Amino acid sequence: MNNLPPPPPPQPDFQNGPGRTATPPVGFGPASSPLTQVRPQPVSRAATPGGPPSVTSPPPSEPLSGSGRSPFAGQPAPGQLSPGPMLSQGVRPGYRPPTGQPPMSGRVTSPLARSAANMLPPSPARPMAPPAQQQQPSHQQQQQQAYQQPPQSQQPQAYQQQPPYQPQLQQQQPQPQSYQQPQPQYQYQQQPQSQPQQQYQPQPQYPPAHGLPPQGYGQPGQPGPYPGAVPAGAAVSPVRSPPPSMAQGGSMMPAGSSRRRLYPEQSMEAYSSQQQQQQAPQYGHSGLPPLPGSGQPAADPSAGQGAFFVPGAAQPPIISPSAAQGMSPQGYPSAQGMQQPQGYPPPLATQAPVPMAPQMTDLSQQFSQMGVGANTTEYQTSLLGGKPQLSALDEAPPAIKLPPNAACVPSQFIICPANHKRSTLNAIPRTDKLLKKTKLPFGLVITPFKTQEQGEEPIPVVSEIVRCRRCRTYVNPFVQFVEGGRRWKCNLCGLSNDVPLIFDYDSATQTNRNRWVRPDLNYSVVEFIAPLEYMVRPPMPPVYVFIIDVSYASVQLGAPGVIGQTILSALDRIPNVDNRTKVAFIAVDSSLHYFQVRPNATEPQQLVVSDLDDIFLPSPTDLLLNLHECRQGIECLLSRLESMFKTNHSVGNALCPAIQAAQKMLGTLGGKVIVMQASPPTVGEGKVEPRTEGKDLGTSRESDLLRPQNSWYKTVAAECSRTQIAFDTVFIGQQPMDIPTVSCLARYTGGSIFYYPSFMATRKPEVDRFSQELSNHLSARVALESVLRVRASKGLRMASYYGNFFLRSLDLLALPNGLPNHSYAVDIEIEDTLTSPVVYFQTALLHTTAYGERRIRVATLALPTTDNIHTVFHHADQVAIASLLSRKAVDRALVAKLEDAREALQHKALEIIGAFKTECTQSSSGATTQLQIPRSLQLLPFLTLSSLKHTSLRGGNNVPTALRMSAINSILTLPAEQGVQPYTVARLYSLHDLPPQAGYPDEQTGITVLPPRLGLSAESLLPFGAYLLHDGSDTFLWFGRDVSPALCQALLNVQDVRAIPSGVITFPDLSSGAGDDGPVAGFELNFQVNNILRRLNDLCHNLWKPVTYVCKEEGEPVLRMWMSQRLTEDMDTSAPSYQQFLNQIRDKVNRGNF
Amino acid sequence: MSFTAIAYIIALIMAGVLLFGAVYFVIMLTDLECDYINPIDLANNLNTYVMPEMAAQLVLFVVFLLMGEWTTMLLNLPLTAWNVVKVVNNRQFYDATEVFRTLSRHKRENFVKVGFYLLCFFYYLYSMIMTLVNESTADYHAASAH
Repeated sequence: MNNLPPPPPPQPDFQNGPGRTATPPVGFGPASSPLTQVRPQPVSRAATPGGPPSVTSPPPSEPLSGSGRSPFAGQPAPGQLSPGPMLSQGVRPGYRPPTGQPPMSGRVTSPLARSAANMLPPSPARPMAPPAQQQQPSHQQQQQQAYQQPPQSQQPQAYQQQPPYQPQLQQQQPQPQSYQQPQPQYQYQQQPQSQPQQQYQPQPQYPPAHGLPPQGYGQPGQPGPYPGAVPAGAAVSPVRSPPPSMAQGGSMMPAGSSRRRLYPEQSMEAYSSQQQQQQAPQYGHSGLPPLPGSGQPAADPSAGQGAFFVPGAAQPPIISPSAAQGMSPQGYPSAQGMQQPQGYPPPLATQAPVPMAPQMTDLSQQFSQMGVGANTTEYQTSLLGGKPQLSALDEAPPAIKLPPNAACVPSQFIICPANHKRSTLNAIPRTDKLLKKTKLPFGLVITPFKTQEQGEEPIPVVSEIVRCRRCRTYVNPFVQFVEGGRRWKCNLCGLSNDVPLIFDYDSATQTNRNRWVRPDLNYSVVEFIAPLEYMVRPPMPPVYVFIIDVSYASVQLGAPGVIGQTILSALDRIPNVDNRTKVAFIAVDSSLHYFQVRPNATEPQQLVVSDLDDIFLPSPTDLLLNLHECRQGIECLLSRLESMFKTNHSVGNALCPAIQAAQKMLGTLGGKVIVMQASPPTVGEGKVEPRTEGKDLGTSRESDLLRPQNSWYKTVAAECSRTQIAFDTVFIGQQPMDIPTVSCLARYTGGSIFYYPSFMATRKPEVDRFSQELSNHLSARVALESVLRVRASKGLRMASYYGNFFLRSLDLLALPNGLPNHSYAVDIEIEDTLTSPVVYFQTALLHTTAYGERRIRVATLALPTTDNIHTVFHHADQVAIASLLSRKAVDRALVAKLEDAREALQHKALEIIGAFKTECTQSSSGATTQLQIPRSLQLLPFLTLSSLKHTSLRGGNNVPTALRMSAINSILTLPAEQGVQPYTVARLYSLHDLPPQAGYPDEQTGITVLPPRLGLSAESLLPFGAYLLHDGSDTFLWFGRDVSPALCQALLNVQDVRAIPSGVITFPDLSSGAGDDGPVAGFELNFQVNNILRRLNDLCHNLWKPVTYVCKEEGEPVLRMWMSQRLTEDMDTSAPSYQQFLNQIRDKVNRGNF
Repeated sequence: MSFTAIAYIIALIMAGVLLFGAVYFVIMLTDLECDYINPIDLANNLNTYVMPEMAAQLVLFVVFLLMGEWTTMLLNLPLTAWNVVKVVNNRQFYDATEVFRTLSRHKRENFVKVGFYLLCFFYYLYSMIMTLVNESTADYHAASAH
C-alpha cells in the first residue's frame, strides 16, 4: 500500500473513486468477457496439434484426398480463407499477426495492455538486435506464408494476403483455421529462443489487435507449443507449393493432410474430424457397413448447416456432423443400418431426438466458443512477471473432443457436464509411461448427487434398466449397436449384449418405439427408476435423530435454545413428501434425556436415563416420532428446549452412549444422526482426553493432533454405515472437543462437519449463520441408503478415493446419506495401454429418494485418448487438478505429516512445470529466464500456492487444530467448482468504483452482474477504497482509512468510516422495506452489494451463510490478519509471495532439480 | 523324552496352526480384493485372531529363550519384534475404514508370514527329530555304557 500515491481528498462521488476515474478498474479487462476474448483461439486450437516436427510436408500420396468424403469438400477456396482469421488477417499486412503479445515496454499504462502484459515479464534490458527488427516484418511475413503453405499446399499465396476478402468470408471456413494455426506456433516458438519479446518493442503502439479486448487479453502468450514445428516451417520456402486450382474441391485434402502432418497417427482419430470421417466405421459402428447417406451429408456443407462446422474448431466436439443435417434420418447411421433387416420404419425426422434441432446453430456456436475457448487452445504462456489471470477460473474446462461418431446417437447432451464429473485430463494419455512423463495427476472429481442449478434442464428419468451382462455397465450414449441393431456392444468391456425388445417395442401399449430417442442413449446423465431387484428392503423413510448437547458448556453458549428454534423453523423444510419422515431427539449431559411424544399428544415426556453402562431404550415406542403425526408435541418440545435445560449444571457429556442409543433406535431402519456438541465426550469407551495443542502447533507433532485419539468412533462409523446410519457432526463453541476424533463419525458415513467456533446465542450474525446453514442442511435433498460405484474402461484402475464415505469394496463407496454438495475424488491409474480412441467412466449412484423411490443416477463420461504429450498438457483441467491435488495433500496430512503434505503439493507443481519444460519446449535442458506453462495450466502455480496458504495446509503455529480439521474436511468434500473458488481462492471486488450495472440483473440472462475481480493482493487495496472479499464461508468488508463518508453513508448508512463498527456485523439491507425491486434513493450501493452477496452465495449453492467482518485499514490486527491470509498473492510468514514462488519454481526447474 | 523335544513338538503343532492362520488371513484379504466379503466383516473376523496369533508367537519365543535354544530364538526374534512394534503403536488391528488403503501391505505381510511359518514348521520338525535322535542315541550310548 505504501507505493500508492497519496490519497486524494475524499470526494462525494464515491462511485468514481479518486484516482480510479481515469483508469478503468484493473480487473476489468479480464473479467469483462472471457468468452469473447478467447473466441478467436478456437481457430487455432483444433488445428494445432502438437505434432512431431519432422513431418512438415504433406505426404504426397495422401489417402485422404478423396474429395467427396470430406465435410469441407466443395467449399470455395476463397471462403476458406477467413473466419476467425480476422485476427491474423487484420494484422497481417504490416505487422506480425495476433500474437497477443503486449508491447513489451515494461511501462504498461492501459489496463488492457497491463493485463496482457501480465502474461509476460517486462522484457529484460536486453538490447534489441537491430537487424532482426528490421527484417522482422518482411521476414516474418515470408515465414508466415511459408508456414501457412505446407498445410494447405494448394492454396494460392495470393489469398493469404488479401485482407479485403475477409469480411465477406463465410463463417465456415475450415481451412483457414487449420492453416492459420501454424503461424502463432511458429512465431511463438521462435520467441523464447532467439529474440525473446523484443520483436514487439519496435511498435509498442501496435494498434488494433491489442486494442481489441480479445486480443489484448486473451492472447498473451498464446502461440502454440510446437517447438518442432518451427524449424520445419521455416525450412519451407514459399515456392514450394505451386498454386493449385481452387475449383477442384480438392482443397480439402491439404487440410486433411496438414492435420495428418501435425498429429501423430493415433491422436488423429480423436482429434481430427476429417480423419474421423474416414475411420468412422471402424469404431463408430463397427458392425455396419458405412452408409451412403451417413457420411455424405456431413461432407456437404452446402446444406446450409455449414456454419456448424466451425472451422478449425475441427467441428463442435459434441455433435457429430450428421447432427448438423437437421436430424435427417441419415443422421443416424446405425438407425438406418438396422432398419433394413428388421423392417422398422425409418425414424422420422420428427422422431429423432429433436429437442436440440432448433437451437442447433446456437449451440454449435456456443460450443465453438466455450469448448474451443481459451483453456483448450494449445497455447502456452509465460508466468514470470505477471499476475495470475484469475478470470481463467471462471472459464469452462478444456473441451472434450470426441470423435464424431463416438456416440450412437448424435446428441448435444452426450458430454458429461463438468459439475457432475470432471476429469483432470480431458485427453488421456494412452500409456502409463506417457502419463508419468507429464507428471500430471489423473483422476476424477465426482459430484454424484449434484443439485439441479437454475436454468439447468432436469435430469431425464428412464424406467427400464439395461445393463451389460458382464461388467454391469448401464446402457449409455456411447454403446454401439451391432449386428443390424440386434445387439449392443458394451463400451466399457466390449461384450455384445442382446438389445431388449423394449427398445423398439412397447408391450404395454403395443406400439413401436424409436430407440434413438431414448434418454439413456441421448444423455450422459440420466436417472433410472430401479425395480425391486435393487432393493434389499422397502425404501426407507428419511429419519433424523438429533443428539443435542445440553451440558453446562452448551447451556452457557445458549446453544440448546438456538438449536431448538432452528430445528423448529426447519421442520417444514425437512423432506417429508409422504409424511413418512421420522425424527427423534436425545439430549445429552452426563445422562441421556429421551423425549417421548405420543401421536397427537401435545406434551412431550422426558425420560432420563443415567445408567450408561448398558444402553437400553427407556420405551420401546414413541421415541422415534413421525414428524407429521407428532408435530404438535415436537414443536412444543423444541420451543421448550431452552427453558428445560436453562439451569443445567451437569458438566459431563455422554455422547458415546447416546450414539449407541441412536444406533439401537434406528436399528434396521437407518437414518441420519445429527450430533451437536459443545463439549468433549467424557463418558464411555469413546471418551476423549483433552489434548494440549499449544506447544505442538507448527511443529512436526502437529499432525498427530489431526489423528483420532481412539478408534471407537471409526469402528462405530463403520458399523453404522452398514446399517445405513449416517452422522453429521456440528461443533459449537471453542471448548476443545477433539474434532479429529469425533468427526470420524461423519467422515466414514458420508456426513458433513460443521464448526462454529465463535458461536454465542447473543451474537446475532453467528446465530444467523448457524441457523441458516443447519436449516439448509436439513432441508437438502437426500440420497438415502446409497452406494456409488465407479466403473471405467479396461486398462484403468481406481487407485484411491478421497472424500467422506465408507469404502466397501475397491469400486464401491457406501454413502448412507448422500448429500448434493458432496463430491468425491478418485485417483486413476493406467494399468494397460489404452488401445481405443475413447475411454469411458461411468458412475452410478443407487439411492432412495426422500419420497421412497429407488433410483440410480448414472453419469457417463467419455474422454479421448492420445499419444501426444502436447495434447495431454493442453487438455489438462487446472481446476480439477487443483482440487484433486489439494485433496491428496490434506489426505496425506491426515495420515502422514503436514510438512510432507505441503512439500508433496509444492513438488507436484514443480514437477509438472518441469515436465512441460523438458518435454514440450525447445529449451528442454538448460536455464531459461522464463517459466513456460501451457495456458490450460497457467493458474496451477497460483492454485498450488493458494492451497498451501489455505487454513487446511497453512504453516505456522496460529491455526488451531479444530479449525484446520474443519477446513480439511471442506477441502475433501467440496465440489471442484466451489472448493477451488471461492473456498481456496477468494473473490475480491472493489466497492468504491462499482460499475453501474454491477449488482443488477443482466438484461439478457437475468443473472446479477458481478463487478470485475481484483487480484488477491494488498496492492489492490487503496486507502480511499472499500472492498469486498468473499471466500464462501466468510465475507470481509475492507475500508481504507480515507474512504469517503458518502460511500459509508450509501453502503452502511453511517456517517463516516470511524462510525463503522469493526468486527462482525450483519450486513444491512437498507432497501428491504422499499417496494419490490428497486433500491431506496441514496442507498443504491447497499442495494448493489446486497445483490452481489446474494449472487455469490448462489454460486456456492447456498452452502454457507457467510458472516460479514468489517476490517478497517487501521483496525484490529486479528481481522487484518484473517483477511490478509486470504490475499494469497502476497507473502506471509509461512509462504512466499506469488512472484517469489514462481522464481523458486523457475530456479528449481532450471537446475533440473525436480 | 526331554523337555526340549516336547517343546519342539508343541512348537511344531503351533507352527502348523499359525501357518493355517496365515493362509486364512491371505485368503480373507484376497476375498476382500475380489469383493466377496466386506471390510467390516473382514475386520471383525480377522481382528479376533490377531492377538491370539501374536500371543502364540510370543509364547514360542519365550519358551525357546528360556530353554536356551538360541538359534530358534533368533529365528523367531524378527517377527516377535515386529509384532511388539505394532502393538506399541496400536497398529495391530485391521481397520475397516482404511483396509483398502493398506491392503497391499497387509497382503505382503501375510505372505511373508506364510513363508516364515512354513520355514519354522520344517525347522521345528527337523529340530524335533534331531533332538529325539540325539536323545535316543544318548540313551543308547548310556545304556550300552552300562
